[in-house]
Amino acid sequence: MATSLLRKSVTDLSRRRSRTFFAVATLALAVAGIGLFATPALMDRAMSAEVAADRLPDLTIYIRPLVLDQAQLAALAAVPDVRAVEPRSFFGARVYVGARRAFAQVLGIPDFTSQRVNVVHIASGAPPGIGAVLTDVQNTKQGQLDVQAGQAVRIIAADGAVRSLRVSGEGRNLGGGQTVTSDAVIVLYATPATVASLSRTPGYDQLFFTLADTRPAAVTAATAAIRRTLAAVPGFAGFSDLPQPRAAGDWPGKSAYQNFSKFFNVIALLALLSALVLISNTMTTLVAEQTSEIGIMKAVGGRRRQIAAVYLKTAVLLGALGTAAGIVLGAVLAYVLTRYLGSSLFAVGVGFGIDWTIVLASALVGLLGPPLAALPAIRRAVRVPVREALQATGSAAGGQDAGDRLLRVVRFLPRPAQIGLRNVGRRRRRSLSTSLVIALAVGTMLAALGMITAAANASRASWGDHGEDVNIIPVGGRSLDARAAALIRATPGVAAIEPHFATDIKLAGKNARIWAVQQATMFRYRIAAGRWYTPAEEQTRARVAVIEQAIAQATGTRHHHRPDRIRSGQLPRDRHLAATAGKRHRAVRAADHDACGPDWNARRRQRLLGPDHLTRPRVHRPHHHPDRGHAHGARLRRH
Amino acid sequence: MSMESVAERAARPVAVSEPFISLAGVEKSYRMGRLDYPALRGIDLEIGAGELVAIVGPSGSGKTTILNLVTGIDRPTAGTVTVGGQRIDTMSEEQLAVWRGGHVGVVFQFFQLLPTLSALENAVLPLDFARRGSKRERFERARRNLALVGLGGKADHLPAELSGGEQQRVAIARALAADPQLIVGDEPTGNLDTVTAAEMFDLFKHLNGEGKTVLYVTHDRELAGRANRIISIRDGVVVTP
Repeated sequence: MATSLLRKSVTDLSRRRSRTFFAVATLALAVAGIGLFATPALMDRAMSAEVAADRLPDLTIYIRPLVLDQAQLAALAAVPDVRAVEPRSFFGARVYVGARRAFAQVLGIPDFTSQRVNVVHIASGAPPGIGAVLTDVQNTKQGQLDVQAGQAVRIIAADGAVRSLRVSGEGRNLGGGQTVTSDAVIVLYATPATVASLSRTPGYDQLFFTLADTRPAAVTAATAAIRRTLAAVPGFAGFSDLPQPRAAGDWPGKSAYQNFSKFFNVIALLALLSALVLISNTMTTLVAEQTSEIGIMKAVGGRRRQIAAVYLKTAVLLGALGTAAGIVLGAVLAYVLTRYLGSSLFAVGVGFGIDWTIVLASALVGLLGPPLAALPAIRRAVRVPVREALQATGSAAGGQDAGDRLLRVVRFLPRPAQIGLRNVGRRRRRSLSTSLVIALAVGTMLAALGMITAAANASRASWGDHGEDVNIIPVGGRSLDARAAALIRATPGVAAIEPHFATDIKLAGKNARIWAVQQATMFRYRIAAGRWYTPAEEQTRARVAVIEQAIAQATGTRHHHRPDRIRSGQLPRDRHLAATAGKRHRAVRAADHDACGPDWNARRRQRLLGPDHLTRPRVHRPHHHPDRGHAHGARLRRH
Repeated sequence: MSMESVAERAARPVAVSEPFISLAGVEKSYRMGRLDYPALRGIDLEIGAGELVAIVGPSGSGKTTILNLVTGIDRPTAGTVTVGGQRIDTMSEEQLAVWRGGHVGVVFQFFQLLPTLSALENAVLPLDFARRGSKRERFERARRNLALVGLGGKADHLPAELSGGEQQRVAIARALAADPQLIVGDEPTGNLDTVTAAEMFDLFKHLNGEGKTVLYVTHDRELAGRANRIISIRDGVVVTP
C-alpha cells in the first residue's frame, strides 16, 4: 500500500488528465529529439559495415591517363605496405537527360567480377560489357537520371559525337553515390575500353590502394614508393592531384553528414529547452493551484521538505512517463531518419540499432530535467506561510506589490487590455516562463529561416564575385591550349577571355583549393589586408598568392609572415607562396603560370580539343569540380 | 436542568486548573496593502488541560486569529504563546510543523481535505508526515479513527463522494491521527446542518471526555453554550475570559 504522500503525487497527475497528457507529450517529443543525437553513431555503424563491404581505398592516387599492364599493376601491388591495388579510368562527360545536358562521370572498372578495392556492387542487372554502362543507384534516387536496364543513355564523347550506350543494370558504390548526391553529377560505370572509346584516351587515371599500415608516416612512404614505381612506367607524367589518404573510420560524405546532423542537434536542444521551460510552467501552475492544499499539509504536520517531495515526485512521474515514451519514440525516430538518410544520401541500408549512450543520456535528461525545472516553483510554494497558504483562493493572491500598483496606473488601455496586463503582472514568473517558451519556439523558427537566408546570401555573394558570363571547362580533364583560346576569343559575342586553373592543395596541413587567374582578372576581389599581386609579379612569375580571409584565419596564415608552404599534387615540388588576405571570398592566387597555370603556351601544349567543346559553355558553379584536380578552362565575358 | 444563556455562561468564573494553553500580552497585526490592521490588542488567556472551550465573538473580532496562534499556524506580533509547556511563538516554521503533527489536531470549517485522496488516505496523512509506526500500523490507526467517527465503511471514498458531515468526520479522524492532546476546531460546524452539527459536537464532547483539550470557535450560540467555558472576544480583546 502506497503512502498517502505518494498517492497524492500520482493523483495530482490524474486529476488534470489533459494537462498531464500534453506535458508528457511535450517531454516525450523533447526526449525523442535527443534520439537525433544517435543518428551519427548509427550512420557510422552502418557505414563501417559498408566501408568493409566496399573495401574502400586507404589511399587514392590521381594520375594523368596512363596505360598499365598486369605486370605494372603487380609491381604496384608489390610496393611495401600495399595490400591491393585497383586502377580506374575516368571520363568527365555530359549525358543527355531528355534535351538537357547533365554533368556525368563514366568510371572504367577493369573487372567487375574481381574488384579488389573500392568495389562497385551490382545492385541489379548485369555487369556492363563493351558499349554498355551500369548506372549508379543514386542517379535515380537523386533524380539525376532515371534509366532502367535495357534502356540507353546518350553521352557526348570527347570528339563531340553523341554515343548511345545501353544500360546493363544498377551499380552501387559509396564514392560514386556520394558524387551523385553532393555534386549532382551522374555516375556511370563501364569497362575501361568503353571509357577509352569515349575519352579517346586509353589508360587509368585513378589508382586505389588498400594499405597494411595506414599511419601517416607509412602512407607517405607508400605514396613515395608508388610514385617511384609509376615513374618507371612510360608516359607517367606525375600525379594530377594530391594523393588522398583516407583517415581510419572515414567514409565519403562523413564530414558533410556530421555537419548536417549538427543542425538536427541544435533543433533537438532547443526543443528540449522548450520542454523543460514548459514543464517548469506546468509545475508552477500545478503548485500555484494547490497553495491551499500545501497549507493543509503544513497544518497537519507536513514539513517543507516533505511537501516539496510530493511535488517533486509528481515531476519525476511526469518525467518518467515522458522519458519512457520519448526513448521509444527517439529510437524509432533515429532509426527512421538514419535509414532515410542512409538510403537517400548513400544508398546504404541501415538496420535497426540503439545507441545506448544516447538512451542513457535521454533517460538522465528526461528524469532529472522535470524535477529540476519544477524545483524553483516548488520551493516558492512551500515557503508560503501556513495561514496565507490556507487562505489562498487564487483570486486573492498577488496584485499588491509596487509592480502591480504601477500597472494599475496604466489607464489609457481598454478595460480588457488593462485586466490582461494586470494578470500578466500578477503572475510575473509564470508570464516570464511562458514568454520564454514562446521566445524559444520563435527563436528556433527564426534560426531555421536565418540559416536558409544566410545560405542564400552566401550563394548570392559567391556568384557576385564572378565577373564572367560563361565558364568553360573542357571534358575529360584536359587543358585548353592557345588554339582553343584563339577560337574562343574569335567567337562572336565574346568580349574578353581569361584562363583559369584550379586544383586541390594542402595549406598548413589542411585541404584547400587554389585558383590561378590573371593579374587583371574578371574575378571581383576585395582586399582585407595586404595587396593584390602586381603585373610585374605576373611577368616575372613570382610565387605570390592571395589567401581567402577565412582560410587565412583557419590556418593561421598571415600576409606579413614568412612564406607558407603550399603542397600541390600536380607540382613537382612544394611551392612557397607569400600570402595576403582577401576579404570575404576567394581566392588563393598563384602567379606561377608556367608551373601550375593553364596550359596556354605552346611549349606545354596538350592534345587539341575539337571546337565543339568550346561551344558547350557551362554556367559557373563555384564549388563544383567534376574534373577533379585539373580544371583547366576559361572564363569569358560576352559583349 | 435549565440551560444557562451564553452570556451567563461566559460571565461565570471558571477555576483554571494547570494552564495547558497560555497567551500572555499577545498582539497581532495584519498588513493589508499599505495599512496595518490590528486583529488582537493584548490578549492574556489561560486554558487548562482537558477543558472544552468555545470562543465566540462577531466576525473580525479575532477568534480565528487566537486559534491560529494556539496551533502555530500564525505568529503573534507581540507577546508569548505557550502550549503544553512549549513556547511555540519562538519555534521555526519547520519546528512548528513537526510540533503540530504530534500535538494538535485541527478541524476547519470547510473540512480542508485533499480532494485526490480517499477518506482513509486523508486520515493517515499526519501519520505519514510524522512517519510514526510502520505503514501498516499507520493505516490500521487511521481505519480505527474512521470507525470512531462512524465512517468505517467509507474509507475508500473520495471527499467528493461524501456528504458535508461525512467530510467533517474525516477531518476529525485526521485530527485524531497522532492522538494529540489538543483538538482545535475553527467553525467546525459552520458548514453543517443542525443535526449533523450536533453530532459533531457530540464527537468533540466524547473526545473531551477522554481527556483531550478541545478548543473551538463558533457563531452558534447553542453550540457555544454546550462548552464548559466560553471566551468572548470583541475588537481584538477578551471580553469575558
